[in-house]
Amino acid sequence: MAKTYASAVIPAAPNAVWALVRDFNALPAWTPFVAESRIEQNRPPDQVGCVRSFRLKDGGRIREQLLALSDYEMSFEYAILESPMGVENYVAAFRLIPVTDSGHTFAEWTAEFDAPGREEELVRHIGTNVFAAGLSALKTRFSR
Amino acid sequence: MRVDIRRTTVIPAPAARVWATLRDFNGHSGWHPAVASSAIEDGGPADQVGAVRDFRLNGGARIREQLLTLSDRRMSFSYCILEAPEPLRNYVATLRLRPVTDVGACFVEWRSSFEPPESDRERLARFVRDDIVDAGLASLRTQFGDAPRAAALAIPSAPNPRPAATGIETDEIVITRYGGPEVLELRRGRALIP
Repeated sequence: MAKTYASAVIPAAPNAVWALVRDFNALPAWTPFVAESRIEQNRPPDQVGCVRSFRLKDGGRIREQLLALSDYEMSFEYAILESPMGVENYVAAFRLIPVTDSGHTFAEWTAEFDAPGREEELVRHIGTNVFAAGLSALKTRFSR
Repeated sequence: MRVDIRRTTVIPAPAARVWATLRDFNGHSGWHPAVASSAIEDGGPADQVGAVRDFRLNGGARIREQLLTLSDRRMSFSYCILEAPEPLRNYVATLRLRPVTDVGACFVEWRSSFEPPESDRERLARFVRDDIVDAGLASLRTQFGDAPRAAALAIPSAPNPRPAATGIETDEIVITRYGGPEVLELRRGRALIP
């Protein structure tokens, strides 16, 4: 079991960040690497169990299922059903926590998965090119 | 009604370095401005779950707290108050660190909750929030490199005293200790004139 983790402080109020990221279908709106996304079977994107099917800008298609969503904790979890990365048992969690002394938002993104023989490479790839890149895009977006 | 306090901040130092300071359950006199001195009872190790720290605040108040959990993996610990000169009943607190990976900093979360008597609720909530939690976080920020902020400059000592009693002198029975067996004490006091 490999684990990867990335975090950052977003210079905006938690509510504002959460309003953007809680939409399970909104990856094209805030990440730099997703071209288009839809929710399968026309379900609402905050229905736990719904599946998002999205295409990366490099062409890969990924299907992910929403496992948990909490407006109270400002967090959600999801699993990969299908992807070109060749990972198994992939479960990721995204969470926001208020930074009370500045009014900003701490964001953390973490995943656990199996990929025998390629875990080190994938920990780096997902941690840097997916999680850190996504958080960096949030920082930029809310710095304007 | 239970009081829940949750305060967070970002400290400009690697989480592992901040954790090395915080995980020492007996080390708070070194970083918390309200703590004058501290000792682990029975001379045991400070990272033994169940350890009790017996310490004094700057104003002289004595508090005993017990370590309930300690996790190096989560970089967190929690503790409860066993004995305090104020009615901080069922007081449990948790500190947790998380790395801020993009800039190599440390996110700190400090949660405290307790059940004060309704009449003391506001005063004790303010004391814990301002003089314990916020003062501690501000001091950590300063020690690990941030310039002090205005709010961090007031050095707390003890809870604000109750307003001076008025009325007529009489005998009263008061609780003078909390957390263990409460002690009822007969002494001279003042009663309000109706």
